[in-house]
Amino acid sequence: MENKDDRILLRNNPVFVIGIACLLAILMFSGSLLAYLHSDTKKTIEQIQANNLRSIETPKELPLSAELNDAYLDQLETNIQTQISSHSDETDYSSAELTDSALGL
Amino acid sequence: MKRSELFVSVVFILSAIPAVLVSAQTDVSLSDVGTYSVDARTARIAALREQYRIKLSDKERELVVTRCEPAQTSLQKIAFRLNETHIARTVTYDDVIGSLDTVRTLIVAKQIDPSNIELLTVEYQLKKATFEIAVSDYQTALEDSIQVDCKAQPEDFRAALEGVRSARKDVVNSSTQITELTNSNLKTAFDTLKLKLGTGDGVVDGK
Repeated sequence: MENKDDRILLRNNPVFVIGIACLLAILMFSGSLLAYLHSDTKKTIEQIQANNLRSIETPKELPLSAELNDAYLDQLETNIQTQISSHSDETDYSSAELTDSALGL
Repeated sequence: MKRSELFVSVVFILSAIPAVLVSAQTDVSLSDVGTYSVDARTARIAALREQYRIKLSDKERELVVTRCEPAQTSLQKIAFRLNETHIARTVTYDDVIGSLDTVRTLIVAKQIDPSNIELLTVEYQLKKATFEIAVSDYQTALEDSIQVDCKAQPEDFRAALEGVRSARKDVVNSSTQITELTNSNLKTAFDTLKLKLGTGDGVVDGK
């Protein structure tokens, strides 16, 4: 009898009901978050962000004069050579970092 | 069943639904891909073991087993940096090809034969495609070396590492070809074009 009264009291207790609702909300949020982290959606978004970054990255200025002459071509040639030579194979793809000693083997 | 027990049961069932959904989704969409990917990696590493005739002595095995995990961490950093340099280089090469395309437009507007610039553009496009393939192979080789269970299969890790070294060489070779193209053919093509601009030689409509 006393036990039944306790249960009724518990059901009527708003703190208990709100607590259960919050627990349910947390569980569902965790589930959704887990689903998102495991889904392909996250990878797709990361890929889109990477692509956006690539397209937003402003290209180095190349002369786009409408006048085609020797000076224009000289300037363009210099700019292209500067751009290409700005990438160092030794820095970007160093063989030294793949040696056994560099890898600690 | 008491009401409170029923309520608790419903809560637990509801909480299990997202986990079941995640599991089901993963099973449906990625299970096959994962299997194929692992099979492909196993095949690649087996080929590399055969190619480089990887055989480790007991001492070498132990050395690899004890030290391979930090090595894999270093390889992971190299893979991360590779992605960054790949993006930077792709931007540069696309810029160059875009600039040559602009030059071609200007040449056509002047009614001069654009074939040498078109040829140069195609050469850049081909070299860039070769570079892209080499980088993709390098990324795959790095991924293989990072994913292989180096403690259980030290020979496989060794083979994967040799694959990484070989793939790096291909990337450097393809990059060198682009540099060489820039140093030789670009100048030649522009010099020819300057000559045409000065003399009016090569005018398409025969004026």
